[in-house]
Amino acid sequence: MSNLVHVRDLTVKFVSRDRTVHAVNGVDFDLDQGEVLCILGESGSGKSVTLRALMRLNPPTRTVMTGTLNVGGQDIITASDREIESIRGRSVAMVFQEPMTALDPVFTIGQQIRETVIRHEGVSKADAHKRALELLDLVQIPSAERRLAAYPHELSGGLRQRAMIAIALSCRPKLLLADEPTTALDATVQIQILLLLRRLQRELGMGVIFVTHDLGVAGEIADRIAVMYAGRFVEEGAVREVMRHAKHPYTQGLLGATVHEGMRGKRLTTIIGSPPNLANLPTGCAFAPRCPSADAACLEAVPGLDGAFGAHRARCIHQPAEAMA
Amino acid sequence: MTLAPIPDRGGPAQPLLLVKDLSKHFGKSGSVVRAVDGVSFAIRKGETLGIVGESGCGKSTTSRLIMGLIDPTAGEVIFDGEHVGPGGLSVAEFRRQVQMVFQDSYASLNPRLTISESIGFAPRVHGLSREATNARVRDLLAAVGLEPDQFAQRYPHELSGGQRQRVNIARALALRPRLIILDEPVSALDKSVEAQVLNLLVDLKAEFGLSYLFISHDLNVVQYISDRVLVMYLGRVAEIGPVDDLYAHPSHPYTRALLASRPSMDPDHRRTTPPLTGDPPNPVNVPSGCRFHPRCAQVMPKCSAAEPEMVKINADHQAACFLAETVPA
Amino acid sequence: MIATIFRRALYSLPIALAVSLFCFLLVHIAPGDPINAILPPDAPADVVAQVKEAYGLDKPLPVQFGIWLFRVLHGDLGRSLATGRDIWPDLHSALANTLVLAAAAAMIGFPLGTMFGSIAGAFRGSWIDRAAVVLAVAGVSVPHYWLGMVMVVIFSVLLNWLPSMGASPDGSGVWALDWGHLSHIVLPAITLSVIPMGIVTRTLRGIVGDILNQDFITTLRGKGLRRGGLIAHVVKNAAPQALAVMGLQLGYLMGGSILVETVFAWPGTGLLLNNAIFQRDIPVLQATILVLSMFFVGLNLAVDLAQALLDPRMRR
Ligand SMILES: Nc1ncnc2c1ncn2[C@@H]1O[C@H](COP(=O)(O)OP(=O)(O)O)[C@@H](O)[C@H]1O
Ligand SMILES: Nc1ncnc2c1ncn2[C@@H]1O[C@H](COP(=O)(O)OP(=O)(O)O)[C@@H](O)[C@H]1O
Ligand code: SF4
Ligand SMILES: [Mg+2]
Ligand SMILES: [Mg+2]
Repeated sequence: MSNLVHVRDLTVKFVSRDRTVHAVNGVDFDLDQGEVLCILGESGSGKSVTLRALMRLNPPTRTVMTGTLNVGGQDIITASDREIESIRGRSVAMVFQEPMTALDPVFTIGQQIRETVIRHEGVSKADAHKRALELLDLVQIPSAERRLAAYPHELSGGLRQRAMIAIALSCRPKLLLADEPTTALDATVQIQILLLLRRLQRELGMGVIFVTHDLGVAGEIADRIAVMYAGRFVEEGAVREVMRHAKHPYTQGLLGATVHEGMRGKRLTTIIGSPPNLANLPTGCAFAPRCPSADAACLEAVPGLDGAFGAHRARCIHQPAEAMA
Repeated sequence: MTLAPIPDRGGPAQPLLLVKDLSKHFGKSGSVVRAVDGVSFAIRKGETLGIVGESGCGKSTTSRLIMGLIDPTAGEVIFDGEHVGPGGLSVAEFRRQVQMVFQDSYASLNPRLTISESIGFAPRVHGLSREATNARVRDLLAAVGLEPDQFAQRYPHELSGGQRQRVNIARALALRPRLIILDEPVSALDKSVEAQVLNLLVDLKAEFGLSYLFISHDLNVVQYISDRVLVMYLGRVAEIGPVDDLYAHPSHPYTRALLASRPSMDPDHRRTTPPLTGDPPNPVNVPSGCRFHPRCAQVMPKCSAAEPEMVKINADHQAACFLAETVPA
Repeated sequence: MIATIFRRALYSLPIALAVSLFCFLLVHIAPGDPINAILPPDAPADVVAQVKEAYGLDKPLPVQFGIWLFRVLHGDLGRSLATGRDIWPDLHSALANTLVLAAAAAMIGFPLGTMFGSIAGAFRGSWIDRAAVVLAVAGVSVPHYWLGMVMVVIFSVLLNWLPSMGASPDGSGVWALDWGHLSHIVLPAITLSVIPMGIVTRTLRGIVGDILNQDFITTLRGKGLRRGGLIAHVVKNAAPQALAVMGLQLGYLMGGSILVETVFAWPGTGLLLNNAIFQRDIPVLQATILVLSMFFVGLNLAVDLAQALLDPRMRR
């Protein structure tokens, strides 16, 4: 198994006394060293849960995971807590959406970088400090020495996200997980962070899984895109293929609904209805109730992904001609 | 009282809303936040004026100043030819004609009122009878695409974000206003829901003969919905003009940078350099001269010395930059 | 930071002044001639004249306040009506005893409350959590008076393990650190510790539960921190709020022990106040309230500063 990430039929459920939420319902993918996969989907589709599953960060008492989940050769589902803890932050690291709440408000940026380095590499405080300085340089935070002594609330939104990235990179991870890291930022800052991530990814040869709800963001950073709906990948393929020749009606709807240049004066296509209740999923294609091409056959069984692994493929039995995309 | 639509007064040529030298400075001397600092513009009858700019540039403050939710430090607002405030159009009458929709669809609704009570509240206060109010609420719900039988008696938490935003729009329409100020109305919504709400706004505008002031940080959305666009930077107008002209020929370096910050939507021609570095500045310490000069790619010595005037690029397009030039007609 | 200390200290000044003004006015609010509140009714005429002169009772009120404040600041708190003695020595020893009792109660209640509360907050919804909640509610709602009596009945009367009255075996009001003295403090301290324990438990349960639900905890877990590393973060985040509650509770322990001190005949400020109230000994009342209030003001300042020290967002 040479893939950096190897996922087969992953399911994640949240079980509580009164209900079970089926957040992820059979996800398959591989990720190679140095590859960038974007998981694209609307809120509640299971993107964050999938990402957190890769580090086993979903709440341990409520979460039930099944399937195969290998990261860097380590089986994540069966690993002991100790093994998981030594993977987290070292070979796999994560960047979150809201750097303000994702950083501890009463510790300085420097402390929060140093503790990761010390935790995993057991170096001295002085060495950890030196590393922290290098890291701020790497993520292009000027006057590093001063910024290390700053608390999160003393930095602007963009700098905070850079600091968050510095923490994630502190032990040179092989896999970087990014959960909507630019969603809370202005477009002018978003593009800076995207370009930074792209450069770092290339320089450090990391595999990246990047979660976003924004097709434009995916277009800037992805090698491959996986479109997620109701806990499944409904379409996946190379970024160009998915953006230009969307196969799945949901992806096509999403493309039609995303406002971009040249749409002025045209009516936006919309997707009727709303996403299914994850506590009570329909038997067939989860998109069927909202799909313009749906018929009785769609409701019988969950459509499989057509095509070979790694090819451009979609979970739809009536793939419409790519009319509007 | 029947709450009939308000007749037009000054004719089509008279702007519906005129904002003159509006300023709002927060805080005391020492650390003054110049949130809005001398902003002037007009909203014409039947048009949508879009306002874009980075967070903190004063978009929301501008809208709250227009609504009279906060008192301006300076400047005035003129509605259909009449000064708003003492001696002119009363604030109550103005508020009937101008309504607002906010980004946070949940916080804008009273959680203890049903949808129908929320929408019917203002008409009742304005003296509409119970029956007439109910009829209007049902019409409004239908107009914003919510089945009245299904939604009238629900509470806000029983609705999705997109449905709540429709309710907010219905409520804004309840007094038959002429202008609606929309402050980031779709920013919290998913893309597919955003599209639904944008379509709805386009329909309602035609149906009710509305004008919009549409605030957003999303340049694509603003381009889609606006007739004219105002670009704001640090409490000031950087550029204003017809949407096609402004997007095709941006004259202010800031507008160009904003436009270039949008994702390319083309994996083969990705962005390679960020158009701007650093974060949006804070309006506490406003730079001298042109406020944009510390981040401007084309900065010249004079930019930090003096503040550029608004330059008329053509009849309808202006920019506040020394490099902006009038295009001969 | 120095500026912060200075500013906060400056903020407490008006509060302290207002409190002193209130205490000063206590004498004047009392019905009748203020002189009757300061001197016993049978005081000889020359003493009356002397005191009137010393306190400037014929002068306008603000001047009187100034004179009074001046004397107080120089340690002259006046004389007791009941005993005729200087107030300060008695108040001083009572204060020391109350402080000892409050400290003992705090040393029992705060650590226990912290422990129960933190564990409950960390395991919300578990049986440990439910047990801690019951304990907290019981602690807050049990009446001091009743609990004190029960303890006396069990441990002094029935078992005869511990003394039930006074602060020391020899009956003097002077505290010392030996078994005889310790045995006297056990029952009142436990009784007094119950309420702060309940409140600290309840507060810490809330604080720790909230902190563990914050996003940054996920980040920390995502960095691979183990339990020890996580606890350091939780402690530093919880400390400012926890300290505030404990500071307030310490203040209540100082002032609110009247009942317990009465039950156990503990020679502290509570007993002093109690006696002063029954004997209408207004100067003692005035002096005790003043000193306790100042203590409270000082405590608040200390808590404020500690919070600012621990939470960078409060340094303003
Ligand atoms: N810890 C949890 N307990 C219960 N349900 C959860 C939990 N985390 C996420 N969910 C549910 O799982 C679904 C997918 O959530 P998420 O992955 O966060 O969506 P998104 O695609 O917006 O990131 C949602 O319905 C959410 O409510
Ligand atoms: N009530 C207020 N008091 C002080 N500063 C304020 C207040 N409201 C807004 N500001 C400041 O004014 C500036 C403009 O804010 P705002 O109009 O909300 O910007 P935008 O909507 O463009 O993001 C910001 O720097 C903001 O912090
Ligand atoms: S005036 Fe100068 S600094 Fe300002 S935008 Fe124009 S060129 Fe740039
Ligand atoms: Mg998410
Ligand atoms: Mg705003």
